[in-house]
Amino acid sequence: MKLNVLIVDDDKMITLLHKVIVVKYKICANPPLLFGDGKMALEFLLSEYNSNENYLILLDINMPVLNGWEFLESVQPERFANNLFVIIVTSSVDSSDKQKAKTYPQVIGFLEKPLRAESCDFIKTIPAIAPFFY
Amino acid sequence: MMTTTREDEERLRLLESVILNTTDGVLIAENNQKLESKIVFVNEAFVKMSGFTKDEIIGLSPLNFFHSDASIEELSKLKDAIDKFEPCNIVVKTTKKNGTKYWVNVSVAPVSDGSGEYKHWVYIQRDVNYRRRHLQALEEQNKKLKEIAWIQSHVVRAPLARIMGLVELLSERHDSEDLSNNQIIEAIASSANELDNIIRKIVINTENAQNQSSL
Repeated sequence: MKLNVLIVDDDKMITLLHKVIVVKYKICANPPLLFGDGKMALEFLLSEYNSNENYLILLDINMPVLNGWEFLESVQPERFANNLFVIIVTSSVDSSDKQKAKTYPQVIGFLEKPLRAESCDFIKTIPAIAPFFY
Repeated sequence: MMTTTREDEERLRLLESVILNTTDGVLIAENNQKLESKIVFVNEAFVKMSGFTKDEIIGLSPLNFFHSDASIEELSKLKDAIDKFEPCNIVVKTTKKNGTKYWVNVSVAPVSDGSGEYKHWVYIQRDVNYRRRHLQALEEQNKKLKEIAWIQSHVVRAPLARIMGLVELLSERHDSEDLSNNQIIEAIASSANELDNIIRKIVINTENAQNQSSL
């Protein structure tokens, strides 16, 4: 089984930085896909989504066009069954964002920017996706 | 008997002078047989507050009088109380004759006659414009503070997070095809500048908020 990683963030430098980090710490075998806002990521999923694949989405909250919350509203679990996992990755240290994130069933984690070695170690221990890292 | 009557008269005069001299506006309304309420008395303070003359006020319905700009919730609270012959306390915005809007606290109470029948209503109206404006200024300031907290959490941390990530990458001398060391250094410099601009903006905003509250 493999995990396709999508990095969704309007901060270009952050997407590059996170790309380097997730490759370095082996969150994904293939290079991750980078998207500048929720709409681009959603369009990708709507056209390329394959129910035999698994997707890990590293999702920023504050983005233009379609922000993280709106993106989550658009990827309801009925459509993207059990193979779409979202980790919120935000610069916000606001606890209300963390609480809100918990209300979405697809969200399996909440991390603060920047992603680092420890963040990647944490990602590998999340039960929902841990089997991908054995 | 004579003494008692004089005492009663003195007491009445005292009570009357309270109503006439208080700075609270006092209004008395009487129900007619159809249970419609008409104003039968207002004191000088009420006349001054409203800007209308006594003659213009007498005969109007008190509800009609408070109608303009009253918030619907408060007004229905008043109507409910009147229907049930219960006292109530509301804060409404009303308009002076010259068009100036002002906030008043109105406490309304039914008054029974000797037979236990409620024929009269007493409205006591207090000008709370100053208090209200003060409250609005505070609410405004709270909103500003919330905005500042939001900026701290979302906007200030964005370039800072970038700097933290980039520095970590640099410290490991990790040259990848996506990010060369030169690109990383440039990105750190521009993130630091961005952070500087954000902090300056916050300082200016905070100063503006302070100036507003001291007005």
